[in-house]
Amino acid sequence: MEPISISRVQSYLACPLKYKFEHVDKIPKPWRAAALAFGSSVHAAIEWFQKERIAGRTPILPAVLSVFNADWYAQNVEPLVFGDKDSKESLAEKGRELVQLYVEQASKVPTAVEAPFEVELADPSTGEVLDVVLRGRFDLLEEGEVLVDAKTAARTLDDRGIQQHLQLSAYALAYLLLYHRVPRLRLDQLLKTKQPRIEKRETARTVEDLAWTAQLIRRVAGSIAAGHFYPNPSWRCSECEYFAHCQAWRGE
Amino acid sequence: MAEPLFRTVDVKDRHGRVTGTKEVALYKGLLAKAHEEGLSVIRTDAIQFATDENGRTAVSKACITTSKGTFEAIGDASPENVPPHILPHLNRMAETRAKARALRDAVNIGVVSFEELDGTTEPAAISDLGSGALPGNGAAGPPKVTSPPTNGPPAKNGGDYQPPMTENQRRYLFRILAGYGIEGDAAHQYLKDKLGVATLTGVSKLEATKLIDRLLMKLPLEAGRGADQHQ
Repeated sequence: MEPISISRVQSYLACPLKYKFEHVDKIPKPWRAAALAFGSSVHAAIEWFQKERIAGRTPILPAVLSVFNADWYAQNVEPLVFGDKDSKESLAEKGRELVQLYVEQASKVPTAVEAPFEVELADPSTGEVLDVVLRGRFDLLEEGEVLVDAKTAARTLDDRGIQQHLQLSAYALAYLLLYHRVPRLRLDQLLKTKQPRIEKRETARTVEDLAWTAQLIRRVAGSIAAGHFYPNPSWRCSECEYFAHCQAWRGE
Repeated sequence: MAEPLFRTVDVKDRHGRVTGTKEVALYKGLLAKAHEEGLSVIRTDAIQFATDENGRTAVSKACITTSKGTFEAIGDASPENVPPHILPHLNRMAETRAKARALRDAVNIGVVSFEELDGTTEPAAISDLGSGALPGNGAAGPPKVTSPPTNGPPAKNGGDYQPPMTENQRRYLFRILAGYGIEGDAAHQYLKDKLGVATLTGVSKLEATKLIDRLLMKLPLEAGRGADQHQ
């Protein structure tokens, strides 16, 4: 079975039919959402900043901002679709503010950034091998086995949202399977609110939590392999790039 | 027993439906025929290994010498033009494709070889993918055969289809240029000039990879911005 990433698992869970259009049929998206592109550009800048720090250098703020500016410009070479309250310029401004906050608040130098992993999935509570390979990248690892995921968002996640954050769970699971220890977890939310701010929230997972996650990933991988693709009507449909394809779908 | 030189494979559309058949040459057969024609040298050079920085595109060159002369060819392999089970073996697949193409030239076979196809096919009994391929592979997987993906640009010069520059490559190019102090519209124009295009839409993935490599070679280490995020 082909390795699966947690973003693909999330994509399938959000809508199996959209997953098929995007990853199986590989139908080009007719447009790209500005919010996703914005998150990638902020991420590119902070990733570069942290890699420089790991390399022993101290990048100055204008250099980090120029990475964001360059990436955001490149994202806009092909048109993006902006939300009602957003524009290319307003997001550029918010992105710069968030990057600046991130740089100013950075304390510990991480031990790794965007560290790739590939691990054969197993249920950590039973040791059962699940015949699925999970692939991904740890956003950021800090001393003391702290695994950090940085995300841009429009609003903050509540406690339940953080406890159920699948990406954090999957990374914790991968870390446990690779290093035989449950890591500490932190979600750094870069909030593009009216007054941009960064919220750092710690959370934790038990081995039982991670066993649940492992079984979920296994089932999703199995469903994809078996070709179980069907629509999941929700509020997301109104902003789905494949809405027209979905409307034309008749069960094939 | 003589190795078969050709086989017929099913051609399928993206939904997996068989839409026709196609005759392809087989690596084993090409190799046997080359031996018959005095094959004396097969040399391969890895021009580029697959890395995250180049969009996981491996490129190899093969040089074949027979009694008729010396024949060279390039082969490439990337996630866009191999089936999933070959993904861990991009370097070897690039080498096999280069050899297959050089062998075709050497033995004067114009039919594309099975190994050069951009996906698996659906043969009844699959052939060995050649010395550079994954042992025992090829028997599974859906076909993609020769049609370019629907989102790709038209083939250039009527030749092999080149997948387009990825979004991540485009972003990476702009970030590298920012490291040179070339930003915004100036960077955009710089790229169009360097690549000889009116818009960046028509740039191939391979062209972008080459430009990234060239830019990185000139760049001081501390200015290499945002690496590992442009596949």
